[in-house]
Amino acid sequence: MLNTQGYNENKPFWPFIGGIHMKTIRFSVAGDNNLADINEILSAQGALNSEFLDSKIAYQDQKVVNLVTFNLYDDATVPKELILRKKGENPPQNVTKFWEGIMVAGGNLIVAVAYRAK
Amino acid sequence: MINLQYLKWLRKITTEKQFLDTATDVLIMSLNLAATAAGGEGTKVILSAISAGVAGSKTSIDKHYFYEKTVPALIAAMNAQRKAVLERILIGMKGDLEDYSFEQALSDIYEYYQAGTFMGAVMAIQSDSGAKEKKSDEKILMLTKPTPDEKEAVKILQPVWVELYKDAKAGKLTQERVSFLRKALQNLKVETPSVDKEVLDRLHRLLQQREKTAVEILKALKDAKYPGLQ
Repeated sequence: MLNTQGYNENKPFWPFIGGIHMKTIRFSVAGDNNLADINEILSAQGALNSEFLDSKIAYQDQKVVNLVTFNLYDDATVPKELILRKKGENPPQNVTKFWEGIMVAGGNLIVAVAYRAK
Repeated sequence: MINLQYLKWLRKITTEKQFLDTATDVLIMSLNLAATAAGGEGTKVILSAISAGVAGSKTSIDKHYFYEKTVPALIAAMNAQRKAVLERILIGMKGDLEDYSFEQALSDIYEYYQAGTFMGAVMAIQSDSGAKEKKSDEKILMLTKPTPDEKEAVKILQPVWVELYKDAKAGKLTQERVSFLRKALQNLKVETPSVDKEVLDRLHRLLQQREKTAVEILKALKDAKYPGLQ
């Protein structure tokens, strides 16, 4: 059977965030995707009842990747729309900023800002 | 001497960083103000373009941002490494010359110096993360853009999850529906939990964790003749 990737049923990675125990999972997203593609990839995971939390730069198979963390919902909740923008760009309307950090997109290091629809 | 050099260097990079940030911000503000004040449209365009260039080069590379994020981590690694080597030196100094030789002391002093360099910190972080990597057997799956079939399968599955979880929460998940889910898990050739209430979660997790695709799970449910999916 396939390894459970960043999540292990026997030894779950449950950080204590904001007073709530969360079940999280990590995936990677290739750095040659542009930011719009990364946005689509993360939204697709969101549609599987997972909430994007943050991203870190990492190396995987000799490549620079975005190591993304998701909270796994215990029900069928779909998080509100995720919008990624380069820092400095105008933020979309009716959104809440919830994360800012370094990502690799289109092969370049950028500072990305993540917004969630209100 | 090594300690003095280290402290001097720390002080220097902190000052340079602040100077760089301030200098760039002031330059951008000056150019923007000049563009607003300038009479001719051509001058305004040129000044704005220069301003955008300065701002662009700053934000696109985001040197100071990376600096803020990475340098403290490197310095923390340097401090930790230096402390580890210093402890070894201090313990060695308490012993006899036979136990802690001159060659060993020189080697430790060199290592102490190295621990206070960026390269030493990077090497320490790499070796630390390498050790952690060996301890963990987790494989990180690389996410890719969803195919149209995947998107379609997710759309069909979402109302199924909503209904199942709603009923499970209300204690209305019938034995009959659990048996469909069990069949689906068997179709997927994965271990099926013995406890009824864990069956739904197991199937759902397979999808969330990308152990199975939405297309595979939808097919397994259809093959199990889950009501409303034929």
